[in-house]
Amino acid sequence: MSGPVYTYPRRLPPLYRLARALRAASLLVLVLLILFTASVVFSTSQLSQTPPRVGSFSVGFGSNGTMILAGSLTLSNPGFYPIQALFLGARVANESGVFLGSFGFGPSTLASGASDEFPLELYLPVSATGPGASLLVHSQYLRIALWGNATFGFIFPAGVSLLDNRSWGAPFSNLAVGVGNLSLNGTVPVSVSFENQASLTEAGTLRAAVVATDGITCGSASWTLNVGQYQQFSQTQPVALSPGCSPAGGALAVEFVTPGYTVPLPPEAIP
Amino acid sequence: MSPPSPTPPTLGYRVPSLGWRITVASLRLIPLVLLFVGLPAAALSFLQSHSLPLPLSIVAVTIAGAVILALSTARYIAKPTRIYGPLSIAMSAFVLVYVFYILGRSTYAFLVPGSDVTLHLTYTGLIELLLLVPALSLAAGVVTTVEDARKARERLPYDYPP
Repeated sequence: MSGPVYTYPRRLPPLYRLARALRAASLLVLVLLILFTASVVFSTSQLSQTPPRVGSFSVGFGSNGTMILAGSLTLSNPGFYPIQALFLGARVANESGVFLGSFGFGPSTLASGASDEFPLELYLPVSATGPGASLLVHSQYLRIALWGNATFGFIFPAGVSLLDNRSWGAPFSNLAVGVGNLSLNGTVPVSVSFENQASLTEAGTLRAAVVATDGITCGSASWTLNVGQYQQFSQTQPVALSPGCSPAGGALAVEFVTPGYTVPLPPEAIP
Repeated sequence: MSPPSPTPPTLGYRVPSLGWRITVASLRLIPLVLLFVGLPAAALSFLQSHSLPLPLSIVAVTIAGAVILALSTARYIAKPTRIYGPLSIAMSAFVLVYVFYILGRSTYAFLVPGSDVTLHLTYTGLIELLLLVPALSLAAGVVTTVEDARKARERLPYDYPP
């Protein structure tokens, strides 16, 4: 390092001061951004210590002709930044790909160091003829599309989406209802069989009505049910038909009735 | 008759020779190459080796890093001259364009290998804040250019204090 030696005043010129201040501000912003980003990454990495917990799901019938799949999701935020704009959604289709229902929660905020439980409730319409009817009588794999969004460290939105297949146990799996031959005393045997593969106990009344082609009910039978999970139900009951009422060509209408709700099951045609 | 005002104190300073500045600029290149080319290219290659899509092209990152290095080195060597300000402006403007390029690609989505999970990450806010860095440097370059135009060598004693 060599060169001539010059002299200069100690006081900084104004333009030099300004340029130096701008460069210092630029460097300060860069350093702060690097530190902030590093702290957000560290804070977010803390989430792996407390992964989300999905509580056990319960299945039930709703009074509005729906099946309710209810569970909960517990999220904890051990980091030092809040998790904002938290949203979770799901779309459920049956194994044929027919849309059944969807649910979601949010947007919500999970404060730093907080833990919260979010309800997950999926209402699936189960009318006897709609796409949800198969849920009643056919155990299958449901296609679940899940997606979630959240903002970490105020300025880092992130999202996740995934596809999942979940097994579904039908409450009236392999439902078989049938009408036997008309006997001399004017009764027909009506038989019902199924297996409860849902995680609930079916307590209520099962009603079967023999309906003629013109819509008139020729006769009906009922069974008191108390069928636990994975229990088989198979019974036959004679049904007295109204005089002159012919069930041939009609249908056997079956419904499950409790004080809180009535669930129509897929009808069976009578040959 | 009032006594004459005291003359401001003055100090000596020495501008490094061109050879010395070239030597130091060459040494500066070692960490700068790692920072502007090595690390970004390594990070992108890591993603590529795990079959993940790249948020930025490796070629673009390498070229941009090389241009920044060239301008930074030229700027360092030319610091005692009047082209220091324009070179500072050129470098800041290029970094500004580069950060804008990154801003346009600041949403990154990828399928986690071997799963049905797709992750989306957005760092637009961070890149927008990062724009402040070259913008402030650009302003500093403009001020230095004006200063050199108004009074050549005015800043040299402070840039090269004894």
